[in-house]
Amino acid sequence: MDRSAATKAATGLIENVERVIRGKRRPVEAAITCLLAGSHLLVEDVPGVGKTMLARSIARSVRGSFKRIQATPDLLPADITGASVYNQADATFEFKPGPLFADVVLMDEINRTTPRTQSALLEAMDEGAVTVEGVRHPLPDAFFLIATQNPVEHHGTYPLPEGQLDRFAMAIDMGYVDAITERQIVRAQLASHPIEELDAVLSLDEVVGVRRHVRATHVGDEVLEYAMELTRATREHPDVELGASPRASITLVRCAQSRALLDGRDFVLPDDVKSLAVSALGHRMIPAAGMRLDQGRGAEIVKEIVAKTPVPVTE
Amino acid sequence: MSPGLLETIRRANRTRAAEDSVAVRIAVLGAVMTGAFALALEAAISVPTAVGVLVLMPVAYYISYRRRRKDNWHIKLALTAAAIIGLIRFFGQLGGIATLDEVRFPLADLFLWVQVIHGFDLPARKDLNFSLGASLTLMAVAGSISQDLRFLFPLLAYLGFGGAALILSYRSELGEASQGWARPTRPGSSPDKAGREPFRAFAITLAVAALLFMVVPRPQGTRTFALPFSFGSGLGTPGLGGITNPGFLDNPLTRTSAAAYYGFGSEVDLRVRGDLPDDLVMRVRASAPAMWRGLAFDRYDGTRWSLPDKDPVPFAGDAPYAYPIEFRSLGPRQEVVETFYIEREQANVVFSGGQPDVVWFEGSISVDELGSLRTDSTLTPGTVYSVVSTRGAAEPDRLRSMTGSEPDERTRRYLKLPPELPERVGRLAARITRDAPTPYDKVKAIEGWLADKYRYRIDSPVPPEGRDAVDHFLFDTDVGFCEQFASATAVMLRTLGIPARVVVGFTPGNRSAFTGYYNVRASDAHMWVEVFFDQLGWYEFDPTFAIPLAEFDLGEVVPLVKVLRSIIDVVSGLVPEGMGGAVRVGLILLLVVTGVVGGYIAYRKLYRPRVRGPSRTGHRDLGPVGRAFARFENGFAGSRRRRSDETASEFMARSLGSLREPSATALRAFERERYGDEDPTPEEETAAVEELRRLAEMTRADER
Amino acid sequence: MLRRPTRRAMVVVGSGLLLMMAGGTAQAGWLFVLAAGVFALVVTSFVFPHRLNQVRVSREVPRRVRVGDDTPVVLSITNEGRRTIPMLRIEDRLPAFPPVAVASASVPPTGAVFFEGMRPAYRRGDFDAGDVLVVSGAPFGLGRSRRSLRVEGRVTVVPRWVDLRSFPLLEPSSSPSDVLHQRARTGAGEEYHGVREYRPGDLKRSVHWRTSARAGKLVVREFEEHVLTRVAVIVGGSDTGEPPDSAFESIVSAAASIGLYALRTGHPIELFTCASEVERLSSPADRDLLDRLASVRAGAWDPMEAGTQALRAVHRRGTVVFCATCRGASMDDLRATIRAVQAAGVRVIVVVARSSTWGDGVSGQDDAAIDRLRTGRAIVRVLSHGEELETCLQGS
Repeated sequence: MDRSAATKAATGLIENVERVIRGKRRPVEAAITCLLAGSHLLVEDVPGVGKTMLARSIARSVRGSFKRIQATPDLLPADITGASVYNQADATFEFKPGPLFADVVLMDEINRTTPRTQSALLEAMDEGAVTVEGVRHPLPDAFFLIATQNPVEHHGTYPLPEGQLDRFAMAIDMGYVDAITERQIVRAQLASHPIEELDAVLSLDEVVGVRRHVRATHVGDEVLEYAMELTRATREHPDVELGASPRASITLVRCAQSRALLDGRDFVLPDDVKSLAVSALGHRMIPAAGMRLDQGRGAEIVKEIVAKTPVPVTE
Repeated sequence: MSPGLLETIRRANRTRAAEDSVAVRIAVLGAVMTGAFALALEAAISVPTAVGVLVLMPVAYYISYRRRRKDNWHIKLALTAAAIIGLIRFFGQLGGIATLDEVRFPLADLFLWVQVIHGFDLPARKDLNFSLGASLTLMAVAGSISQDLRFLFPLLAYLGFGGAALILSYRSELGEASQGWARPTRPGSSPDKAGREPFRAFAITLAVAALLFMVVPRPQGTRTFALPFSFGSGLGTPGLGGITNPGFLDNPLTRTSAAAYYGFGSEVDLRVRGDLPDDLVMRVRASAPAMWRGLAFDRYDGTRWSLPDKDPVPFAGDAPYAYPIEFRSLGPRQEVVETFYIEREQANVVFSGGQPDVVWFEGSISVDELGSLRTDSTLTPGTVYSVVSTRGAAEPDRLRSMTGSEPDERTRRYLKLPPELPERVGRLAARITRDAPTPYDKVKAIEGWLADKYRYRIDSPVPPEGRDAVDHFLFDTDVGFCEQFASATAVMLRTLGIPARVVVGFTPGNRSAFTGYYNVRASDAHMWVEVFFDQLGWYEFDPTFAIPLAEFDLGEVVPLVKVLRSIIDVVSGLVPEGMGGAVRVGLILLLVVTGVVGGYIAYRKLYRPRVRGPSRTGHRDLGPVGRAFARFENGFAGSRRRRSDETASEFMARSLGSLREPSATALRAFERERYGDEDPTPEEETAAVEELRRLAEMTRADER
Repeated sequence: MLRRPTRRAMVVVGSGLLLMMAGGTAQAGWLFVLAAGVFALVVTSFVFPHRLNQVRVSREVPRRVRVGDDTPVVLSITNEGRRTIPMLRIEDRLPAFPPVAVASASVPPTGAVFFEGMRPAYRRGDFDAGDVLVVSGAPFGLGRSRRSLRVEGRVTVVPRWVDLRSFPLLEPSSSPSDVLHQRARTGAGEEYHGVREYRPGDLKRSVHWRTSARAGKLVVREFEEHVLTRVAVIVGGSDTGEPPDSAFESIVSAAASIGLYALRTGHPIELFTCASEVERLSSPADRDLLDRLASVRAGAWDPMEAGTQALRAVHRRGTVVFCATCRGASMDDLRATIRAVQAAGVRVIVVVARSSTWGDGVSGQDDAAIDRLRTGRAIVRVLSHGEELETCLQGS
């Protein structure tokens, strides 16, 4: 596919998902941006705002398999990655893939499961594969994970440590909708859930193709420098003990490339980087001693930094 | 006047292109006022004149600035009349001067008058440049009068104003010759129009001036057309035929009293002790350094030298006075021209560098039996007199060839010795000069021997009652000062049959590098020896410091040589003793080269060019659309300026509201050019540039 | 880089020497110091770094400009080095415009200044670069150094033209209401245009019998032939007068006007420019036509050669327009060529500039030659100095 086709496919994907997820342009765009950037999304929000629906819509739109994992405190790593099972008939150990082996995976309330399971998941995200008993099993090509955290409920949770949040390209919240849209949604769903009628608009191969175009989007030196400057500034902020890593710059730029493709451009603008900065960097910081950095504060810090960092325009 | 004539006058005086820059005028005004100030400082003009000039000048410049575009023919007429008045006054003043040298002062007055007049009519840059040049003459006149370092301040100020005037004038010229001035592309990115240029230029000029000053040769020995001389301040104490030393109207108890050397008297007592102060006694402007010779003594009686009894013979007529022929020495002579400026009251002795030839003195002078000149009364401060004198210029070989001759009536008096003089003095002299064949060699031998065996000390032991001073010095002491050394040399030479005498006067003194004057202090008072050579006359020798015969010293002419010499001395001091000659030279060179190279490296390390802000050299330059956008951006001020964290589209949205079609396309073209891989097409480029230009115009109109 | 001393420098050096002489005469040390200071000013002027090699000049001009138009030209001076460049002057010598000088204050390292000025484009042509002279005399203006740069900046200065409302490129059409002569209508053709009443001379097979039967009179079918008349425009001649107001310029403008008119009315044109040899430009778009006319030069030409090529180009039907001055070729040759072209059945229009009105005064010879051109069926339009192009071309 050529580039304009890729753009059309990507925007088509967003529109398709929006048929189900109404009134939430920003989170849907963010999710698709993340998907096309080849990375994963963290959604921090209260229950019932459509996180699952979002993941399911995306999966349906790309004709991909969808698996939902509800994290509980007793969830074991093997429960999600899969394990070797003894097949009595063949007298061999057979690897049974876990729910992680799907094209779109929704990991609900990731903060309710033990750190051990969390780390197994994060490792899988990192490697793109699962190693069970010495054997490496790669995850699907278009593997896309949406993890959710409930920011309000703290009882009995193991909130993901900020260092681990690094694996997620972006962290967003869904937000509530206005009254009118809410009414529309409820009424629509009373009849039948729109997701039932959702068709696929892209194939997985096409998704891979679009991702390739995303990676090929031109990034100018100054824009790269700008992204790196933003990331660097998070490290130097006084309230932050450990800021975003250089890997965060890469992810930020990748997401900006995705955004550029969605906009129909073959080059990245600083505007792309600027608009994604909060989502991409806000969750990656470790607070200085004695300060609790919830997502809100992290976002605030990034906003400050964005306001202070000069954009390369005409120097 | 007929209308035709008026019209002609008007046309002749039509104003050309006016100079608008105020800065240039101020700089030129500064230079001219500095010149006037310098003249006032050197007392070349009276205080009321100075004040008048300093008040009138700014007024004149203001008027010429305000009227720069008008024809001003009536002003020019008035100024011409004023100039004529000035000339008349000048010629009137000429009548009242005493010496031709004093023409300087009415001349300074005239120049200043012309400058002031001219200051009223300076419309164009050409006129201002002319004024600047004329101010140089003011400074020159002031500089020629100045005798001390005071002049340095107006000089530096003048260089500053003059340099500034040149720079500003050049800038004005640039602006006139072009269609306009370029603007900085980024607001505030360019410093003010002049920048640090002028300071750098001034610094470089000063450094170069210092270097040039050290290297520029001073031509010497040029005879002036008219040498200055004038009466001092008030009458001094009359000499009444003898020598009147204002410090010692009675007998001396010490060598010095109120900066007067007692040696300038009728006799010199070798038993007197005392140190001499550093007070400035006189300044000498001379074409070459020389010992300033005052009095010669011929009679030695064992404890003192004294002058002959015969009264001195006054010169006939007026200045300039020619030295009597009978006292003149023959043989090769070197001419020295000097002018003495008396600072403190001195004895009525006329000094000269060597043997005087022509004397310009206000008053009457007389000559004594030994050829020394004296005046009627003591020299009061402010006395100025000039002498053209000669010194012996024969080479040592020539002197050496003089084998001595029979004493005649002229030289016999210079061989007399007191009967009480112990014989061992003569024997000592003979022993010292055993191996010296000619009289010259004998003199050098004695000099050398004295320098070897004796040390200089002011408070050397006083010869007791009844002892011969020279004998006591030679055999009972090993320290002495100029009087001992000179006396001993003269006496010993007399025992050998060589005519010798002692002379008192001053050493040349310290030459000021800037003014060129020799500053003579009381401590420079000195006694030395003169020896008579057949057919060549009297030649001076200074046994105290073994100063050789008058020689040409390059260091006096080109100060750089002196500086280099002292550097080499310092460096030689670092090199350990006892090394071979060539090795020494090599080591010295090595040290000098190391010093220079080290200095250069240090300079480069310290003076790193200041690069503004973080280096942006990795970034692409702006293309045409980018530049057009920059210019558009540039048009906003204050809060409407693009904040540093605003992107281009955010900025445009904020400034222009919603973007309609041509502007949106222009923005896209800019974005493509700036951040994209390929450039926009030429059509897009042209359209974008055009649109941005239009927007820039709009904003410029709005801002106004 | 060698610096040249200015006249003022000589004056300064002279006064320095005078000071030295005065100092020697008066034995005044201060005069030597003053002289050293004065000389130092001169030496500094030769030592003070001008840094002209750090200067980069760029020029922005619109890509295409009409002769005589005031054009905004932006000159930018960039400091590519790490030290400040002291004040200087640049002279832009792009041949399209009269030379202009711009002064600039000192430029800091990596800084840039620009100057935007309106300049009249007074010379037609295609220019891709021009020389810029950079001169500096900082700081005192006593020693001047200069450097010549070649600055790219493509600008095509196209001739002026007028928008003609009409021009007799074609024979008058069958329907006189069609002022623009949009299409050449003939009886034969492919596209069915409609029916009209029979006129004597129409071909019998074009009669539409059915409609005729219904109407009760003879009716013929009218077809349109999309054969658009080809127009060949020939430009040649030598110049009289001072461009941009000269004889040759006027005919170039005429050619531009006629060519654009032809293109606007849908005729493909072939442009023939004649200098040392005949050059042909086929089917240009507006812009190409103007660009080509921008670079055409005056000179001697051969009407016969041009006419022959033009004839071939219009395939023996169409119109040939000669735009020429009276000089550069014999008017008799031109007359003969016109005759030959007409003999081949091609319409000829001649636009001739009366050269003498631009230069040497009235010449009877020119007038006589032009009058001779008028005899014959060619349409002749005469351009004279001071007369409006539009009026001349639309003529009577």
